[in-house]
Amino acid sequence: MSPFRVLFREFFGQFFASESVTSDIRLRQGIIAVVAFLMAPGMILAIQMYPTYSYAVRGAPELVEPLTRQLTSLFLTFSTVSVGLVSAFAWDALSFDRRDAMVLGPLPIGRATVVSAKLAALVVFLLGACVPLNLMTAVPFSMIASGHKGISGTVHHFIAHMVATTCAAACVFSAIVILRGLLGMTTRGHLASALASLLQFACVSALLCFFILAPTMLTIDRRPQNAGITISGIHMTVMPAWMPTRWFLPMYEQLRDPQNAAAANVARRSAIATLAMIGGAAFITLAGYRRQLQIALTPAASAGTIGGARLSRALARRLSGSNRVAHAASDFVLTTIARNRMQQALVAINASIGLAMFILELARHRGGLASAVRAPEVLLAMPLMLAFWTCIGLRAAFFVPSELPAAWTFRANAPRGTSAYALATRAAVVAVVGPPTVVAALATAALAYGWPVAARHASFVLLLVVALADFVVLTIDHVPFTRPYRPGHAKLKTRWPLYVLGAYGFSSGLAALELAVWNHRWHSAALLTGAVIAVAVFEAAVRRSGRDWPALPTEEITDDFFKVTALNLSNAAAGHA
Amino acid sequence: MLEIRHLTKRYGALTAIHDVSFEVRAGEVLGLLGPNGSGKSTTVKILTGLLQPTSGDVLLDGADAFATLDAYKSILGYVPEEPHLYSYLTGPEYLRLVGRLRGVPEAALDHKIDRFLQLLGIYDDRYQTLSSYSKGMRQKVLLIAAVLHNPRIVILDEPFSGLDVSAARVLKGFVRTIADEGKLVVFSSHVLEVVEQVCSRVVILKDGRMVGHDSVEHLRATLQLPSLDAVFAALVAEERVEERTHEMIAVMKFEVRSSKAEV
Repeated sequence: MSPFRVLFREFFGQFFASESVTSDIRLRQGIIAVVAFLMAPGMILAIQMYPTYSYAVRGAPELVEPLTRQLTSLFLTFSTVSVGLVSAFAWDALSFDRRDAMVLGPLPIGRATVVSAKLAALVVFLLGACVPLNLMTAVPFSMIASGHKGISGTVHHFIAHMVATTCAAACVFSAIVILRGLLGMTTRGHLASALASLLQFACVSALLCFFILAPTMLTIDRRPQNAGITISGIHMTVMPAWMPTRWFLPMYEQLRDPQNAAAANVARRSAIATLAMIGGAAFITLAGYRRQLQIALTPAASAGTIGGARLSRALARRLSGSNRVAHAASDFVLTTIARNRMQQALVAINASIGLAMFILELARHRGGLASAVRAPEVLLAMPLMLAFWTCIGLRAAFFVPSELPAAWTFRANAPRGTSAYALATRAAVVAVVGPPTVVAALATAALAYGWPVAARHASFVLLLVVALADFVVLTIDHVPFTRPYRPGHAKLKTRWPLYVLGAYGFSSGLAALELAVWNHRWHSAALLTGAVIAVAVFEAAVRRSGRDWPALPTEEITDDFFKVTALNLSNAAAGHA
Repeated sequence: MLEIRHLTKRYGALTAIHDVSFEVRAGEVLGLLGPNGSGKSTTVKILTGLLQPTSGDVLLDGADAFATLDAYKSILGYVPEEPHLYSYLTGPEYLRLVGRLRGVPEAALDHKIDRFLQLLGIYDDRYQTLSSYSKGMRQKVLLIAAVLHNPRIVILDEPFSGLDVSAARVLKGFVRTIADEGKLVVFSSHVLEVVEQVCSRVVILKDGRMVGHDSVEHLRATLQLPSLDAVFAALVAEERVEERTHEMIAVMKFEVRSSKAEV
């Protein structure tokens, strides 16, 4: 096999590498699940449009073109958001890093071979992500939208759809590759790492918001008739012109109808911009490799180049009191989250679910989006909703091991029978979730009600966050990141209603409770007092249950945790048998 | 004194070690030798409290160490064979983690960490994460972590793995000196030349059983062999070394020249 092919396979495999993927089967299952999750909504949306199109063709032909453009805009958005999401989760592999330079640098392989293999892997990854996605929307949509124009119309629709959506996806993907490459070249990786989780949060939120808001962009009036339900009207909300997906709509129209001169100029600019982005990504990839070769052996000049959540750690140490073991554990928890993508991804995904649920509340609010933003029950619930899901994300992250063989550090050095680990974990959760939630609560309440009321509200929110953190810690029984992952332990299939109910109860329910006593001073004081008592009770429970945390069991785990259990004994057992 | 009495460890039908007994006295370095699969690592992990024995006792000054495991582990320092560390932490961060878990006072901790790093020549790499450390650098971090809290018992499993010549010389002197200071030192290694230089007495294991337990000089004199290497070979009965060496070279040179293979 040629070096190019070997490198291409290695680079392509890096896109899917993960500590939680324990086998090829799990990897394939994961890929199939993600692809199915992304492909299904687009196809369903396209098929659902058939009755709408039939109505438009028969009853409102003047709506056919606007409807086609509206849906194309939705599909363009879906393509860009989906590819952005996939790229965000493959962030580390999008450009060369120090490890690539240290491994490949000494080998007798030309730079051209290495860079071209990387570019080939990027191209295949992009096409592998966006082509199936867009095919799923292009095939039904082109048949439905052009049914009245014959086969040539269908083919034109299909080509235009595929080219426009693929170009939009390529543009987004190239932008992310350029960003990743620039960060890799100019920083030591800390900023790139921090941005990865932010990007994941943004992309997951964008996708979920797309699912929530897309139906609101196109509403269809239906009324019952003798023969069943019929459509009586179609209402479309035009996407704002500043949205990037609108830039590729003219490309679609130009390809669908080359006689459309109005779209030609914009389409040409979109095509040039896409080519420029792709070229930029290729250039950054080449420059990135050269840069990584240069900096591969240079030691860091200061600790600031490595992210470490210093402020959160300092806060967590304060919250842990004077217990040195708790300080060690909280530092470990926060540093692990700050420097490990897998754990960050779980927090980012759950936080984006919180944001999406908040957007859903806004979208469902009577009076529309504008009045929803001013509604007190929505404003006050928002920080709590985000805090709830971020805590859930942290809890999920605690069950994902980080460098499991290194957990012997706790086994050999950590004292048992102390609640220090539980208190440290609670402190870490509060340190992560507390400050942004309190700031958000303060800001939203201050805008609506003024600072004195905002301060009272922020105090209540802080108490709720601490109580929630205690509750989360009560549901775990080990030092975070130090146990093997047990697939299915979260029982999401059966417990998801609890999570959703819990989210609404914690956010909307408690916000409504606070609003009910908002104008009664004594009732507010009673509510705050109740929150303080709840915190005290949870705290005592955490201290009590934390003493039973085993740090780590003294008996060996029957996997390859220790060489003696895996390698030597398996050979010896074969001999003895 | 640390006494190991009739230690046995079974995993189902498999016996990893059987009836192993020896003692470690203050002021001496006990060497633990044996080929792969001899039960060396199992013995070390039981001594460090990471595994429970199936039967037998580990006694510290006459008291059962496992009855007060936390107290026993608090005076024990351990360098494992495999340098598994949290690679996303820097050296000082990892050492601070261990130091705090061990209860080393904060005022002394940073000073100790800095001095140890300087003395072992890895101070300049203190801002690098452990993922960029070589094997020898990781070994140095493990060694520092093992002695940061001034333990009474020090157990070293292949501590010289990956160390450069200078660091190995420093470590040899360090091991001898801490033994002279009255600490109990157990030293497990495959490198017999180093064991011969560092250890006062050795325990030799084979197939989970003890086949030798004496001072190096006495073993040499008893078996009338010139070196510990020869003693080890005699007791562990490694056979066909030269023959296997020649076979390995033949395999290395093996090429398929035509449809018929030529050796």
